[in-house]
Amino acid sequence: MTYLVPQHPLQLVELGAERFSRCFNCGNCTAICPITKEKASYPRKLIRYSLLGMEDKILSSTDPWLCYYCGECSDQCPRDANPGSFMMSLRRYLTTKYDWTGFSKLMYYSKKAEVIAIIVVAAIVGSIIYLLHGPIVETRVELETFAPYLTTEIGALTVLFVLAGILLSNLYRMYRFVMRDENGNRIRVPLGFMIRDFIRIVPLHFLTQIKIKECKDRQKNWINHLIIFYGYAASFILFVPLLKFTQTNDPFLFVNPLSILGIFSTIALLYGASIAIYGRVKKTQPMWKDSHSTDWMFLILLLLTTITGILTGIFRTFGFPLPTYIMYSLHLMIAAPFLILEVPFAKWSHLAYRPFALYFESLKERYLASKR
Amino acid sequence: MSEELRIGVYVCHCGTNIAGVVNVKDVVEYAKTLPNVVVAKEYVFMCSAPGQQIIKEDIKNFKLNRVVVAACSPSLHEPTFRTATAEGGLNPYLFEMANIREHCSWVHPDEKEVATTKAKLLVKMAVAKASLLEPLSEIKFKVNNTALIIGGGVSGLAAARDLAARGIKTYLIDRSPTLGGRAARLGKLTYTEMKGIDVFKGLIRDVAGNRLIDVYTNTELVSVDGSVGNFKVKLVKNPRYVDAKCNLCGECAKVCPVEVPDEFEFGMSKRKAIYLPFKDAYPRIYVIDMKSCTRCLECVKVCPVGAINLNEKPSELTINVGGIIVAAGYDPYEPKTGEYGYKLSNKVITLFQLERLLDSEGPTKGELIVNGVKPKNIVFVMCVGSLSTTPDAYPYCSRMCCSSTIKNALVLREKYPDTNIYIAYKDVRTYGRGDEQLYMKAGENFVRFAKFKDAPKINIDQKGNLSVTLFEETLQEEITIPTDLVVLVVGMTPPRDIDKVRTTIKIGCGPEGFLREAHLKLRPVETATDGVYLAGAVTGPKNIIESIASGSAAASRTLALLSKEEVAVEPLIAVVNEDICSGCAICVAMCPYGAISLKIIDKNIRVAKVDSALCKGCGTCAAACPSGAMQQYGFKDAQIKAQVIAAMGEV
Ligand SMILES: Cc1cc2nc3c(=O)[nH]c(=O)nc-3n(C[C@H](O)[C@H](O)[C@H](O)COP(=O)(O)OP(=O)(O)OC[C@H]3O[C@@H](n4cnc5c(N)ncnc54)[C@H](O)[C@@H]3O)c2cc1C
Ligand code: SF4
Ligand code: SF4
Ligand code: SF4
Ligand code: SF4
Repeated sequence: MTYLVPQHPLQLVELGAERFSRCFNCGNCTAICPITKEKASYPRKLIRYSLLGMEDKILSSTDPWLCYYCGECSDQCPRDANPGSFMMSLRRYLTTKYDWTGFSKLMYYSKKAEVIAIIVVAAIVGSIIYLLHGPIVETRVELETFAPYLTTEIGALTVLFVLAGILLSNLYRMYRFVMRDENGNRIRVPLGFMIRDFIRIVPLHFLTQIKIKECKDRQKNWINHLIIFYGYAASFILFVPLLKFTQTNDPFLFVNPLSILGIFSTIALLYGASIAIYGRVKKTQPMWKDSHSTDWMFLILLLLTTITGILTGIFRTFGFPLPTYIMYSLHLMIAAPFLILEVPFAKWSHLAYRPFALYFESLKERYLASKR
Repeated sequence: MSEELRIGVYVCHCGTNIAGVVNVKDVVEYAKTLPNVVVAKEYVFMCSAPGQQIIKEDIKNFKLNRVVVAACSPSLHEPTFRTATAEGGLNPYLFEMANIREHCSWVHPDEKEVATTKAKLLVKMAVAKASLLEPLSEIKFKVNNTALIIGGGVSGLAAARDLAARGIKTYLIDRSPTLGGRAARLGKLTYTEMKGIDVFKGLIRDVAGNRLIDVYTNTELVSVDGSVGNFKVKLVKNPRYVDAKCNLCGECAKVCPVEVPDEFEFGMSKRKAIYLPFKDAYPRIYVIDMKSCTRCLECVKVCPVGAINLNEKPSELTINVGGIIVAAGYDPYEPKTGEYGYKLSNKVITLFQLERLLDSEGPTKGELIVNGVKPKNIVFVMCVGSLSTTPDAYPYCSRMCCSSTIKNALVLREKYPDTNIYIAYKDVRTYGRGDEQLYMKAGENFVRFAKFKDAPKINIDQKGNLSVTLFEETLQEEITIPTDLVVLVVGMTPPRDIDKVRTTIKIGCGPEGFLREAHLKLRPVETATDGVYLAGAVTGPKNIIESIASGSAAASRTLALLSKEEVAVEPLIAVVNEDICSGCAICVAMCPYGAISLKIIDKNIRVAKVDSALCKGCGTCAAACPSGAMQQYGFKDAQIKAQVIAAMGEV
């Protein structure tokens, strides 16, 4: 028996599901959804859970992460309840619930808080640069002197570990929420299976995001998604672990493989971010129709990080010392809040939640099979 | 008998209904052998136009003067064949019918031979009786063109308005002290911005002060005599204890020391023993509720116009009317104590109580305050008393409650946007105009719907907190909704004591007790009793639109009757042979309709006299009469005897 929480669905409205209370339980959305499974019954069932206030059912469900917002359901809904946007809002909702720091909630429920947080992080990074930067050589570009390697790398690695730490702990919370049977009791699966399934599922889906292709006509989306993902991953690797080789005084050399990778990754990011921004402005796809402020912030910061990175490269290549230092400082001031806030606490966290949802789902299946 | 008897016999196949069992040919051949039968024929459907044509032509061709049809029940087609007989040029009462379907083929489907023999006997009996039939003519009465309407709800008011508009003198009675019925107590209605009271005011404008409409409140039916066109109705007018001099100053209520629950507000506020039922009540006169009055006489002392008379007695009055409309409406289903927690907590209320709470003229001036606080979570439980939800519930759908619930949910959401509203439903049947849009709007406004099949349980814990548990059908899971208020959506039931009215007027009812139409589809506002019509929710759940429409429809059917100069009734009534009547008056005592009196024809000789307007042809007197003086047309002793003798003989 579930004790209802009448307030629960009102949160989803704030997270973008304005019309789902119109649902009258016809089930068309579930019937048309290309990825809902035989036994699962989303979006319908999740809508009913939410509408009635069955919060625990939502928290223990992995289904929202399986949906890629193709929007078929919204097109078919006879009551115009927009189930697709509801599924989207559930992902936002779950992101705020998995996160224990409260930042996620802050970012999702208050635009003001989000902007303030970004400005604060940028200001902190700015002051650190102001206090710790090396000598400013004005005669030629001496980036290595301006930003001593060790200091920058320590900063970059700190960001990396904080980020990974938060994401991992949130994933653990997700595990705790999800691994429950229909009566809310915790379930466990033998370690062997846990390892085997992890190897089988997580890397594959993390690296290929192949599930998107199950949605109708989503080939192009899938490619786009991969471009942004790999552009991002490459830049991340280049400018965090490999910082020693990328934060140099040298102009870009087109023969240097790292430079070439750098150029490709920035082009990929520029392209991906522009497509997404264009799509969200023009609302060309269902999933781009309900943009939340965090979506915009993510894309804007991504674009700014990329542009300031490119400009730094250009100034350096053409030998303008002061503009290079300033642009690089700006670059760091934008990249840091982007990485620290948007990635673990907002939209970008789905990179981790989606493959892990598949993984936990499979563990649950195993448990249920053993019960049978 | 002066003229030679020439009888025609017609045996119907009724498709295979009769012919599938009875050997029709045999019966026809047999009929030809019966005395005075000059022609006997068979046909597949005698009631069809060609079938009737056979009778009409044979009357001319064979110079028939009696017609016998062996077919179905007379209650079905006797009128058809009487008409055919008349159209053939004979008196329609020279026709006799033998029932060889209901009384023969249908009850003996497996005994074909026996059935054929029985059919022959039935034809033989009919022929024997036909030989003794005599021509009769219908009895005509002048129609009294006034009408009585029982019940002053919206349907009764609409009927009164329409009848008066056509110049018909109308008596409108209601047993309660005011007109208006249930609708007057409803708040904002569905589809319109009007409130229930506005509908009432709209109707009362044409009724109040109308010189053609006599309104009697506190008045009930005692008896009804007579028949279509000429009813003699006895009414009892219970005392109001306040007369028309009342100027509504209200001084009396101020001094009255007795306070009792106000029924207009469903007991949620108090009124005095002397009171005005509600602000716009009609008639606009205070009334004393004698059950709670202590006769302290305080009111009498203060009334500035001397309108109060505590010694008023019930008075009987008799009126004569041509037609009667029953518009007695419905009562809301009253849950038993404990049913859905009703009366166990004052946070469990009915939809009617909620309507009153949300009415700006209600006990809380339109604020939803229960137990002194404003509820945050509200659960409506629909189908209470309807759709067989509980063992005590009626099987039908009350039709109006879904829309009304959704309407109230929306009113609440608009007025208190932070309330969480759940509607526990069995089915959503928003059939009325605009109601489906309301349902849609409820969805948009975050009214949550939870579907149940078995009645939800209302839990009340020690602290008095409420919750509602139900098995949610769309999720197949049990859920419990914490709540501050439970609203029981009660359906409509037949009005209390409707059986008294029904048996007094002698009309039928359905299994649930609502009054029965003569024909659900063809005659929806008429009853099986000529001259009696039905309007509004007394025939089953209806909304206001339908109630008013049926009030108008009943008025129109009544008008069709009352606009006639005279009505004709079948002449199959009792008749006295004054020569042998001993004047014993046994029949006078026996007649259930009071149709017989004694008249003095010569000094000491008194004989029975039948009032043909009152006699219903039941035959009681003829059976009771010790001297055989009382006979009944169409069923005279000689005619019956001939049938009995025919039945006793061989085929
Ligand atoms: C919860 C609920 C909400 C509703 N909301 C709406 C709505 O929003 N919109 C809508 O269109 N409809 C609504 N309705 C329906 C509406 O109440 C009825 O359609 C309407 O009241 C029927 O009118 P009536 O004249 O047939 O009967 P009633 O209003 O019941 O009037 C019958 C009258 O007859 C009198 N009477 C009864 N018996 C006797 C007797 N033996 N002798 C003399 N007088 C007698 C009674 O005192 C009463 O005055 C609602 C019904 C319910 C149950
Ligand atoms: S299609 Fe629309 S109305 Fe039907 S179940 Fe899905 S969301 Fe609800
Ligand atoms: S958006 Fe697509 S994938 Fe997601 S629930 Fe709707 S139909 Fe299914
Ligand atoms: S109208 Fe609705 S609440 Fe009323 S009985 Fe019918 S289904 Fe039940
Ligand atoms: S048949 Fe006789 S008893 Fe019957 S109603 Fe007529 S007069 Fe009265």
